[in-house]
Amino acid sequence: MENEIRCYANISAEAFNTEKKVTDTATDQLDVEVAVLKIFKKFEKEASIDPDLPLLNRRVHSKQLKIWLKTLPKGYECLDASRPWLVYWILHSLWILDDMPDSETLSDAVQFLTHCQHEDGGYGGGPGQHPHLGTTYAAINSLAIIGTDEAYDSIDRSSLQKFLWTLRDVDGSFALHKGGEQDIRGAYCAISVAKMTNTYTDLLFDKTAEWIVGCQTYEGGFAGCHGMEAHGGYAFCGIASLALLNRAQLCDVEALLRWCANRQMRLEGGFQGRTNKLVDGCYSFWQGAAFPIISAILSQDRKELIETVLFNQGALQEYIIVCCQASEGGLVDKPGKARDIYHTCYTLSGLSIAQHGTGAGDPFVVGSPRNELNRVHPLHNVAPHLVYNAVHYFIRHPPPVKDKN
Amino acid sequence: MFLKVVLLACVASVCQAGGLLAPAYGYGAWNPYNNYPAQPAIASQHSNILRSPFNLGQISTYSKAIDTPFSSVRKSDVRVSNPGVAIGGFAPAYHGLAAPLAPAYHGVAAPLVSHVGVSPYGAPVAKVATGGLLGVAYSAAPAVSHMTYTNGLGLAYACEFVDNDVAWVPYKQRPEWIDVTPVPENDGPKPVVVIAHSEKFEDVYGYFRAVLKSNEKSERALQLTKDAVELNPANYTVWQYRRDILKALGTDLQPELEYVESVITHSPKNYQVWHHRRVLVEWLQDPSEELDLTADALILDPKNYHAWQHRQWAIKTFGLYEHEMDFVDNLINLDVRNNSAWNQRYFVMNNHLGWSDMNIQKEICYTMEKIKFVKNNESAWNYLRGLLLHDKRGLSGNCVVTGFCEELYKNQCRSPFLLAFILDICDEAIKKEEIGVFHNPTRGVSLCEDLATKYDKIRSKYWNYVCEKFRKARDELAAKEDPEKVERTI
Repeated sequence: MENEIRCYANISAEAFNTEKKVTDTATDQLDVEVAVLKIFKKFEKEASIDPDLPLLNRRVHSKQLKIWLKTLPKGYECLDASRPWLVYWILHSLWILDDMPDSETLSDAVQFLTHCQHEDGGYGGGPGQHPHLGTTYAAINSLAIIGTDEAYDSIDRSSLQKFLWTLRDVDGSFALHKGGEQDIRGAYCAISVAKMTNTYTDLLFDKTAEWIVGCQTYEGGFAGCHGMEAHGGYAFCGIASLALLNRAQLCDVEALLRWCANRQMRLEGGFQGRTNKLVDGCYSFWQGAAFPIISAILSQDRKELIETVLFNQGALQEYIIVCCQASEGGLVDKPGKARDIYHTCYTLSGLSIAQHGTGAGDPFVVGSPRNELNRVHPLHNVAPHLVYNAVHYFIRHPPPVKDKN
Repeated sequence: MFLKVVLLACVASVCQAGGLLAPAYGYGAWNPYNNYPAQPAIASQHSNILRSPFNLGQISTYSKAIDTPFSSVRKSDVRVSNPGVAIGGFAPAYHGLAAPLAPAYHGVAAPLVSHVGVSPYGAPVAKVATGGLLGVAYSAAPAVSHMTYTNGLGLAYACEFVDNDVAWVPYKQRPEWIDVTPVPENDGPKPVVVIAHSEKFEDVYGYFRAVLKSNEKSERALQLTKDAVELNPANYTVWQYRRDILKALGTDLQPELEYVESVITHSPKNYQVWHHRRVLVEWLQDPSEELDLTADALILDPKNYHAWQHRQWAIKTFGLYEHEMDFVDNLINLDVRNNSAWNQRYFVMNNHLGWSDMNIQKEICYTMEKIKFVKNNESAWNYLRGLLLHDKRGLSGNCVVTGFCEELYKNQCRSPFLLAFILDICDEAIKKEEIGVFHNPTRGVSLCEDLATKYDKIRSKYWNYVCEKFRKARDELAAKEDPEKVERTI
């Protein structure tokens, strides 16, 4: 009932009210609403004669992703320092679509990531580049998705742990690379990687939870660093980190919940990243994944299970499937934007979250039953069983050196 | 509102800018057309945005190339250099010069920075197109509009290709690099995600990998990092190595500040460039330019997260709070829905002015005025809730605030943010056991129901969840007290 599909009349009734005070924020919002409504209107016409709609074009996306996994056009030169990210986004998208590449290709990916691994520990943006926490996170997640012994064994965990130590500051925060910027992404990537590879120690993350809590703003979300504005990507990093550290009770969960709930756009159905900003498909994951985490935390506190996620799952699915699919494959931020691999990964991840919620109970799938995607783990954004497999492999095979600072 | 257009085409800074992206010394390119009259044509135009999280790769850029037989303008920036004027549009200043030989690598003419004055009091910056170079209509819109989108983890990036530089001489053909053997990328035998690099990219990065490997810290290596950064400003390894070289050579950092400013102007949403700037300012211990630099970036995009973060860092580190509230006031006056500006307001209060009783009252009054102006503005409501965290009377104990809310409600305002606020007042009153005529569990239940079914339907699940606690409180109250009395308080 609460997730029921909205008809066009109900959607258009939610249009932005400028109150006759037109500012830049209002103009930008109105532009997006016009574009989105046009698509929803066209969709309603089509859907009235085709009960299979809305339909996720799985095959088209898969096909494009597999091409991208091999070669990328020149336009991706600007991601030349993010190649493990590209591997992760593509493999994870394919996993969600349940269409993984063959084992030979996966083995090639392991070999490639090994070339990105730095002798000082961690992974760089490409072979020979300095190790970076973002690309290290992407590489570890990719290897967990591949999930073979070859993949697991390719990780040099003792140097990885040393690398994490070099990025840690005395206040518990983490820099993204040596000499690099320091923000909540650093903390999240370090924690996620350390937990996944069993290189985690309490000492390595001493005071980190307290530092992260300092990023929670008066709005309820988390910022990239102390004092800044609450932001969807950073909010995910914040709450996922605290949950991984088992310290979520340190933050104001109800305030976070209110802030996250308010990020869902009343007309578009997708999420915005900050208050009074525009909808963007990638926040389907960053904001969306915060909900199952919050439900889990509230369940702990109340000692009764909250089995649902407190956002409109149907509206988010509609936005993604109706407004965010590029016809030639891949997904987009919002109508009129060009597709890219990053948005493909995070809109699909968000769609999976919208379908599966907390994972308890039956999935709620909008449109064709064929739209149902594989599940993702909301803390790592890797399939739940693949997280489990990796974690347990690394527990069975402890790293040769344990926490030598 | 009056508009006054002033284009400050800073030819002087153009000359400087030539050194920004183009090396100072030239491999003269022969121009076979040097006797022809100038016929400008837009050769290429790009505003291509890709994004990634965390990324390393976020550059939102816009480029346009204009070629005449005598000149070639490869880049144009919209830059804001003085307050007091409004406009959009930019005027490349370098044109029509009959230069038989081009002095730089990057296109025949040096890249160009044109400064455009934009008024903080003026109309929206991005939406005006003005006539441009030699009758070619330039619209500033693409240059600015891409900046209005931020993203994901703040990681939007865009790629820009300026690959039609006729005068580019590959490193492998430069005599002064003859002693260096380029190092190809070691992708392994069967790589994945192989990017189809341009020849120029391969060339530059081949030499970059070589100097990185040999740990060469020299003037030429410093120049090389500039070329590498231009091809991919998100390559943090290049930036880091550039800093290592600067340090090793003891280079004068003032030109470096100007250089990174130009890169920021071009890629204002990139982590690496802002971080580089920050490190330089730390080294120099001189934050004198930072407020202007970030103000310029924020006039173009008032919600640019990187610019705000850099600004906050400079203010906090060097105690530059003095005029910050004026800056914030101005931005809120321009766009009352600018949440970044509200956040900055909180930042100044929290770190500088402090939450004295008087300041709290002042801020309450200010915020109420803004809410009266636009009632559906979540930014202002969030700020009101935020500042009341510091009021010892809380949300429910301040009759100015509660009276204000009830007045709005009485006047038929049904902004979901108002209803949610009253709901929070009810919640606090229940917790404090100060239940009254307006603020009690029963009203809480009915507000939740109104929100879930009428005024904020998209969040019905959330409001139904919130409703549970009010129902519970209502039932507990009913059990404790005379049921008739409970009825009367509704």
